[in-house]
Amino acid sequence: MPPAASTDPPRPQAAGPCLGHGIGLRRAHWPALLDDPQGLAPAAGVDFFELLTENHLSPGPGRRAARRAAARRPIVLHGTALNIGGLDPLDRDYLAAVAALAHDTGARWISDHLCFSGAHGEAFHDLIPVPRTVEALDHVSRRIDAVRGALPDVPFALENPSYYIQYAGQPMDELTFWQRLIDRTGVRLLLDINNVYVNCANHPGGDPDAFVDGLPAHAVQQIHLAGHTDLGDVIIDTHGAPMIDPVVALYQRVLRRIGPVSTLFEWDNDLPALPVLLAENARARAAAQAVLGPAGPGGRL
Amino acid sequence: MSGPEIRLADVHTWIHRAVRGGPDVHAAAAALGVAPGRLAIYRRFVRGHVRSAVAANFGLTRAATAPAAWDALVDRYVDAHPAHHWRLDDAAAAFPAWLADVAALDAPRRALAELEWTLAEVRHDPTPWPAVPAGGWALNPTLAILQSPFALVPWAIALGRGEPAPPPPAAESLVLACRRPADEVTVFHAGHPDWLFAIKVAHDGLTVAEAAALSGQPAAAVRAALDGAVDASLLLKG
Repeated sequence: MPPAASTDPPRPQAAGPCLGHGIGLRRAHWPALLDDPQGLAPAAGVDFFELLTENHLSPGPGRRAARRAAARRPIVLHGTALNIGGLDPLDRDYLAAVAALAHDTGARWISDHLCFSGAHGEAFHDLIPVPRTVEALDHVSRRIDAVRGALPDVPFALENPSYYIQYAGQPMDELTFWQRLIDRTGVRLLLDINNVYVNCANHPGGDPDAFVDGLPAHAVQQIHLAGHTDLGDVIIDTHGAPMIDPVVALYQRVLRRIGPVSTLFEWDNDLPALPVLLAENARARAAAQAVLGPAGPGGRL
Repeated sequence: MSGPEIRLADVHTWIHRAVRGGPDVHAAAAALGVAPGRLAIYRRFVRGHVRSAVAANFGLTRAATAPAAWDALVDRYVDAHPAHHWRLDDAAAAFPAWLADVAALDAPRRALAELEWTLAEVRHDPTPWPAVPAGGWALNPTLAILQSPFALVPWAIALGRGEPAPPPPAAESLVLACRRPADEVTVFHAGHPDWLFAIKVAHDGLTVAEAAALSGQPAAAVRAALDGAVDASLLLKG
């Protein structure tokens, strides 16, 4: 008897490969994660490290730590200073340094944020939302091409950032802007689930389910999970707390739709002891396994 | 959407004005069509990043300054020195010179800030660790020697421990700062004649016998000085 045909529709697949569940490598955890004579024991359950790009660009201790990390786990790079939506020229020295770091660490991909992070020659060191206009879509598309030209050997992804303002005079909603940007450029998406939740809570009419359901699955390179701080009138994306259950549920919704995706739990402010961070990482893994089983097809969970 | 698209250049200009502070936050909010309170979040963030860079690099100077005075001081600094580089620490680099320019703190505290920026430069020194021949010595490539009109080291240590400590009286001193090769931690010491001698020996590439002959000290004393400097991470031993 032939096997019964599945009644499930084919599931769209994320941009591979799935590296599993990782954590951000922060200096306070270097000794435990990189210098332990037992090798990988302290990092049990960590499948990859995400390096904050700017912390490792210069030669010196940061670069040496990056090399040690790369000897232990796959590396992905996540930056904040690209200024992809900026009007100041792209910083060619910065791009060259990122390329060198990516080469040094064998980075599987690099990412930054869909934002501008400086203007008029000043660096904001923050992520300011790009207006969702045709002009901005054209501008960011051209800059994505330029970044790819400078970094031809490594996949490039942009993250959906949290934002606290919505400009007047924007003809597109966030989902439409992303759909058009991905369609035009093929840029990959670092989908920050917590940011989706925060943005939808902070702005009227936000629908997190509709947003994640509408994103092109094939573009999703990586997922970020994080905690936030609810101030009552606004939720701030602090990366300084455990993730909340609705964010976990939204994560599971995405995985049901697109399958295994490399997932990273971010904790940047009030950095906890390593076991706390590892516990959140394990929680994310358990959430994924609850949806996809112990090991999803084509990727590790 | 009703009305024309907002222009990218206008967004950049108004955001720039808003994060720089002053009454432009309200004007920018009106121009961008956003709530002033929400726009002020970005102002706090952007200025807060520079403030945090100053706080992170000048923690001892901060500890030696009254909190309200420190906050006012750093606000003035942020106004005068917005960040211009992707390296956030670079935004703090001008702080010691700015303190001197505006005479905002007394001389010992300004000297302490100079020491802290020296430590920051040591912390980020990109020089690779050299290969040291077996049995030989080499200068720690991150070593920095700071001459100060105040005895800064005991004061800095007390402040680092959270102990109340008055500024030291004027007294010429040397501070030796370097990064430990084993764990990349930055350390500093008060200059000591034995260590300065050991640094001279390693810098000039002298053997123990040559150093003993030139200094008139026994070889054992030379060796002890060199070993002490190695223990302090000022020298590297092969």
